[in-house]
Amino acid sequence: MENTNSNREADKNLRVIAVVTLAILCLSLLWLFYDLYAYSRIRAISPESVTIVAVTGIGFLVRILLFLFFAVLILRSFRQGLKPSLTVIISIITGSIAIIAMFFDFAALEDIGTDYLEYGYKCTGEWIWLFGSLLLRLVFYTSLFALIIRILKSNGTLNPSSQGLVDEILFEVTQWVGIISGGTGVIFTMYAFTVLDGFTAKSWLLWLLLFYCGAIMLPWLALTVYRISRLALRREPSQYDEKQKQDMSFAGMTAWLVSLPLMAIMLVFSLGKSPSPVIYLWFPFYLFTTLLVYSVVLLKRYRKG
Amino acid sequence: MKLDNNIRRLRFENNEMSQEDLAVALGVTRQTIHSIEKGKFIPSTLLAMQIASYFGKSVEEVFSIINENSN
Repeated sequence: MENTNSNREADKNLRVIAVVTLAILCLSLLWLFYDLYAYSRIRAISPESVTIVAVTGIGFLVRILLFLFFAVLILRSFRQGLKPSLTVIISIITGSIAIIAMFFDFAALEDIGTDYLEYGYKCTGEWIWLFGSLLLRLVFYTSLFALIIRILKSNGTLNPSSQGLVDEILFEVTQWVGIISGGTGVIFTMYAFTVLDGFTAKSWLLWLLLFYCGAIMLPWLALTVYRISRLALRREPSQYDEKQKQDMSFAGMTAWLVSLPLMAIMLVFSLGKSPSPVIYLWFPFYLFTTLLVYSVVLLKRYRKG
Repeated sequence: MKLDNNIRRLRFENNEMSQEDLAVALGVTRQTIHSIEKGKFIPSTLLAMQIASYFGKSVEEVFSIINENSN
């Protein structure tokens, strides 16, 4: 009886969060269309570009709020027994990429603000990125909308499941997010190596690069911290089961073995070169590579048995 | 050598129990039960004994060794 009541309470809370997320989603969708308008106005070097950029800037806060509610909603839904359907997986993948993309949107707008508006450069790459990011957000918002509707229509039939199942879903989701963060990080660091090699080392540039690396790692880090905090607070009956531990050991060993030749190649390429900011990127590159390999191997082994 | 098992049959004999229900009862993930059933994962002695005990059987009644070389 007590369990039924607490389940009802949890279901009610989930529906409240879903409704609030829906409201923020609607607001974010409006902002998405405003951004589309804003980008086209800035591109046309409209005289009111400064005001337009300021309003777009407020949109970043709305996006952060949406991501926070999305994270809470998805975690609570899993606790209430939501199974990872295609909609759920798409919303997690696009959501994770959208969080990372937000930081790059900011950087692209910064570049456009100076290079495009002030100095008259074309900034083609930045414009492609910004419009591509809008498309990504649209996909994320659509999948999130479908997810919210599913939660609201479930009417308490998500069936609160066992702790074991919740662990399993969180475990898989963490690996998916690890693949996204690791893959994006590897591409980002390699891109930075290619573009910035030869630049003079400047501390602000190095810190900026490290900041973006941190932002890329953020979704995976948040899930890991969530998991560790739950274990520390003893909200879960057990840690990993023996198969998970075996899979994690194998994935860890593979990631370590793959990282050795990769880092040796990095060393060979950096030998004898003048110090540039990218020299310090060996560490994030190492982190992203091992995270990517670890997550891919772990997920593959875990799912295939 | 391979480790064969009757877990799938025992589940069905036990009110068509799902892998998920068995996993919850034993405190492991559904994927672990699935992998054991398929013979892709060899459980520890402790887990093997827990599975046998859950169905009220001896370990030998649940698990058996198949020697792939003997024809």
